[in-house]
Amino acid sequence: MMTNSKLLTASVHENIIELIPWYVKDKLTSAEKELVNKHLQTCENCRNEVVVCQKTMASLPQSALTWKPSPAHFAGIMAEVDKVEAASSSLASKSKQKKGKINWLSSLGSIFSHTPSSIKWTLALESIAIAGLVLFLVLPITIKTIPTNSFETLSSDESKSSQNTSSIILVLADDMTAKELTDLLRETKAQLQSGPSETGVYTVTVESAASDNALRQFKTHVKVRLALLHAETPVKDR
Amino acid sequence: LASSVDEKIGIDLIKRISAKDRKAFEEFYYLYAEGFGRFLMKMLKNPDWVDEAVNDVMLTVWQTAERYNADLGRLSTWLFGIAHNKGLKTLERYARNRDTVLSEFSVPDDDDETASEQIIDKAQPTHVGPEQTVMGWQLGEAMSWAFDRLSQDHQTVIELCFSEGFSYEEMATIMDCPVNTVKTRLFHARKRLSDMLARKGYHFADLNGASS
Repeated sequence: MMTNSKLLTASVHENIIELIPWYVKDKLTSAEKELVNKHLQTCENCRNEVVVCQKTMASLPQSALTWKPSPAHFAGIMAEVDKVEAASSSLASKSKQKKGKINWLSSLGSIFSHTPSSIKWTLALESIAIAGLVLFLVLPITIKTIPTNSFETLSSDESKSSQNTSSIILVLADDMTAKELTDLLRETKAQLQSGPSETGVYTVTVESAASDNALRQFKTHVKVRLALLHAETPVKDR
Repeated sequence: LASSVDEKIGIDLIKRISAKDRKAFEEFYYLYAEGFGRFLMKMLKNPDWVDEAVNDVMLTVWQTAERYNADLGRLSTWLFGIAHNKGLKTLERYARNRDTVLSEFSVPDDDDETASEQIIDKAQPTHVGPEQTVMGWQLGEAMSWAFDRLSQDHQTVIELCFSEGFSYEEMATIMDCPVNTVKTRLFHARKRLSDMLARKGYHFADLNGASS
């Protein structure tokens, strides 16, 4: 275990060794310098430390490479400065714009906060009325565009627009199947135009040239109750 | 040297720079950049990297001049803190391409005697004197060889202490570490220098007798 005097000496040594670079550089106060000189008389390590510092300071290597400021280098720095300034001014203007928007909104809010509630309600009702009027004008147009066919058809749309066709009205037996109807239409080369209506009437189209033949076939089919050309008046029941 | 420029002149320039005075910035550049360059050259050992690091230092000064507070320390301490930081960042940036760094700028291990001899051969003499010649090497060359083998922190602390004359507290501010760390680094840096020079035949105890 170290004695008190040894501890004190160790502490002094540590303090002195910290001062040695400044002792060598002659930057100590006279009191500090005297303290170091006194310690050096008895401490070989610190004397060596003084030499290390002296030689280090005297022989500190100068870099073989040198660097000098130049107008070209400064011009490069100023170009960077210009970039930074441009970026910061752009940021400042954006923040100003944002601030302007916020100000506009806050002033609008401020106006509303000072508006009497009766006027606020009137404005709200007016807004609802305008919205309703707009909907009223827009909605019918939308409705018209919705297809109105609510029945399943076996014919194609093209048949409706055909010009050289004749329409035949049919009333079919209740027990007639879809297959039988399809077969009949194929045999007669007819196409279903519409039906069944609320009274169970179908309208089919056939080429005008084949309408008589088709009409004959319809009339002779066991499951056709009634068949007549569209212009015809029913004269008989089967 | 940047650390020896008159503080009053520097502070006046910094005030004008904080008001975005470009003329003051130019004056500041020609007054301080050489000191930054010399300090950074020892740290980076590559003129192109120094160009870049001085550029970064100057840009930081332009952007943050208003933050300097004379009550908190000398202007040179603040400026060297920026320079040291930018130097480290530059080293870090280029060290990412480690192969390049190792092949072109690395320092050989202490045990790599062959490489060490080659460096000594290339070293330029900095001091000439009969008492400094040991085993055919001049002390300046040997010191240069040993200094290059110190760690970056040890080199920086030696530079700041012996070349720039900063105090322990100022070095702590510049290197952003506690004062005791600086004291320890400076002590170990000196010890390491002396040990390495001893391996090459320089014994400071002997030189003590020779030079005194």
